[in-house]
Amino acid sequence: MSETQTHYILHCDNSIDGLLTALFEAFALKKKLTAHTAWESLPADIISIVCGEGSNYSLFSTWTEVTTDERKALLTVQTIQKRLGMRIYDAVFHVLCHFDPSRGTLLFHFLVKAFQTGPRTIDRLADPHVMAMMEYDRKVSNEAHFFIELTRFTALPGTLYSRIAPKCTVLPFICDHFVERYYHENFIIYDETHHIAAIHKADEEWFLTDDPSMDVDLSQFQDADPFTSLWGVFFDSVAIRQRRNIRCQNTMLPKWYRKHMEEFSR
Amino acid sequence: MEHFFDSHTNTLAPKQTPVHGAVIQEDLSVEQKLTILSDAAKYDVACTSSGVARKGRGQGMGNTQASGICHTFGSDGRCISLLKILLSNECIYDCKYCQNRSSNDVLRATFTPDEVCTLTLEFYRRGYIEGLFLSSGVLHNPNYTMERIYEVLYKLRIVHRFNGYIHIKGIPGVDPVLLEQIGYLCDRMSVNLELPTAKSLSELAPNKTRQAILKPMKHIQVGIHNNRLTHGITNMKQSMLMEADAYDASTPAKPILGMHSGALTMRAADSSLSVVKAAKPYAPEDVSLTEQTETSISGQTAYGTTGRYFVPAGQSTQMIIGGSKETDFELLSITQALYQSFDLKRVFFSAYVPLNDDAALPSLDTKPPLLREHRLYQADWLLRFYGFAADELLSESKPFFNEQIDPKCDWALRHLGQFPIEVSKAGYYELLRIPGIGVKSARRIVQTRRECTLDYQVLKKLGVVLKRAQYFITCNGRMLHHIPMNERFITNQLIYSEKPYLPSTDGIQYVQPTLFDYGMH
Ligand code: SF4
Repeated sequence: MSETQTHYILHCDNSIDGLLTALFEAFALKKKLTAHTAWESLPADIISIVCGEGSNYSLFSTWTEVTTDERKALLTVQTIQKRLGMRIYDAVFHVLCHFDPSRGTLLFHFLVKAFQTGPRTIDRLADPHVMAMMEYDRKVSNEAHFFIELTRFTALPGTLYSRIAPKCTVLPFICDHFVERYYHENFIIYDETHHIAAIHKADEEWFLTDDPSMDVDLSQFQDADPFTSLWGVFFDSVAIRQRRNIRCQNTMLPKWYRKHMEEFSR
Repeated sequence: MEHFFDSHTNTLAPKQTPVHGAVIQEDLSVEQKLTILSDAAKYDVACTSSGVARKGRGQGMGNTQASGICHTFGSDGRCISLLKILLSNECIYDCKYCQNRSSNDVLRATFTPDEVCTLTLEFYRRGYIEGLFLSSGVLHNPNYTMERIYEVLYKLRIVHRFNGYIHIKGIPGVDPVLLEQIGYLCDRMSVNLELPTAKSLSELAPNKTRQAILKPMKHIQVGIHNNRLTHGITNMKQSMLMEADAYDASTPAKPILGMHSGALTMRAADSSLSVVKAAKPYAPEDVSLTEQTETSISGQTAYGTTGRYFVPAGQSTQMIIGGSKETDFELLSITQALYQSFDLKRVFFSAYVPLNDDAALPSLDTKPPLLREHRLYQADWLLRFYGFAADELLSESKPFFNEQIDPKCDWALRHLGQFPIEVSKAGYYELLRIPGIGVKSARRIVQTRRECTLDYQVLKKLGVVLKRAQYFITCNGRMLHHIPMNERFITNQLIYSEKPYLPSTDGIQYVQPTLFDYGMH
């Protein structure tokens, strides 16, 4: 590596479109840099993508602010889908929904490889980038599965309302499940970590919004709902005292998931 | 026929109240009833909502997922997926081990069908549960009780269009006609074996007989078999996929596909269904129906040929572990025979929890044998997914599992001659026999080694638990560490490495052994 080699850091907002735009820009930059040199001869991490707040500038790096651009985001999606297939796109989308601020860099390095070796890249589990992708994918899927199981609704007049506090952006993966289940109900699932909400009107499809008015304080409604306390009664009496095993409970249901579960917030 | 219960209401209820030990209190609130009837239901261990996928967006509310969904975990570490309650804890029987036995002075309560419906629907809307697991004490008589249960089912499915999961407990002695109606509206049914053998059953549950328990189990099996054939399905255990409109009255009947070709009537000695390969440390009446009986569930009524299935999520059962004297070998052999003779989806084990002071029972300070239960579940898993047979794992001369080590490691240690296995070459089923390699990691190994060379780093990433597997494998001819194939050394290493995961480790001292201890350094 030559001492004077500049590193390029692309910085974008923490949204999925932001990251997709940054990926678009990263490939454009790569093209420019490799006009006269082979990519392989450049240091592996010459381009990084960071997102969200609190990222550090480092010496010898060129910092570029990326402005989220829906058109570029869409082009990135279409290119991945067309050239690499839905299996890789699906993995990419899951990784986009992870919370690691450096996931953009991982995606970029993985995609560079995938564009060289094609759709089967994803089966090369011994490759460290593929393995990291799979680990992030699995983390997002696992968390989404947890929220399919643990998401709780409070009955507001005319609407079921849920607050969740996931680490990953799980809403895109869990809403179909609740639409199937509560098709004739109005419901809102508010993600208080990412400040987005999924809205489902009875008998329709769901959509995402960042409308801040979806952030509702539930305490007064929960206190007034007799089924909230009946659920607590059931939860307590169905456990077998002689089999008490808090350690097992903690393993099966890590504490941070319990924030909005009524039986634990009494 | 959908109004079956209407025409029969009260006809079976005797005039006098049959419960003698009951403290009956009028005007219990729903909350009080819920406390009593969930407390009384909790000793039933099954709480799974698996085995059937039903699409959503039906007329009412709900869907189900084949893999099941857990909604929370109780302070005993058990998954809570269903509203598990009794319809009533009144009971005319006097099973010695049971809190609800007629001779106990406990507060009695009975839900109305509407109360059960409201709790189920409102809990379901709020995302607390996947559905209902309804059982009951024997109120007046088995048919009367099962009619009340049918009324709940009918209201949930047909009136409220509830499409969530429903598990119904079958009470021995119920009329097969009623059983068939129930089977078309629920997802899973279970009839509890209660105790592993006919002998302990007659000692501890004087009002029950093994034959009376096996009869509805056989009815349900035959019903599932015939109904699936009617739908053109030959696999009796696979998870079913149901349409959202399965319970709509307007759903047209489907043509009968299977006709009578493979249909079963209920023959006691149906040899095709009672092939048992393993050694038999149990009496024949423990696992086969010896009484001749006339009825059969055809599975081909109008209901059986709409989108409905008879007990689509299959049948399960449960037996109590440690309340009677059977060995693990007996328990596991009976379990295996049940899978083979009744096509059961699951056999559940329930560690005995002492509730009553009775000379015929273990004393009140007996701790539930949780570790034993845990080992039996692990062995059950080996029977169902790993191709093991009961008599490979245990024998007359070694009738109990080693509590300190899981059954697969235990087996491997007794067969060290078959190891180490070379993971880059071994077949799928051979991989499954290696401790530390499960169904998922075995599948990933087979998939990955086509694309690249395996090494220990990769194996770890594929989910192989090297802590256990390292003693039993080579990868490209190399073991992870150079470890002598010494049974005692490996045993102690394995015991130590498993310690943190055991349900109860009271009173056992664990010290990590070193090679020094074995003079091998
Ligand atoms: S039949 Fe036996 S086990 Fe069932 S509730 Fe009655 S006494 Fe208890």
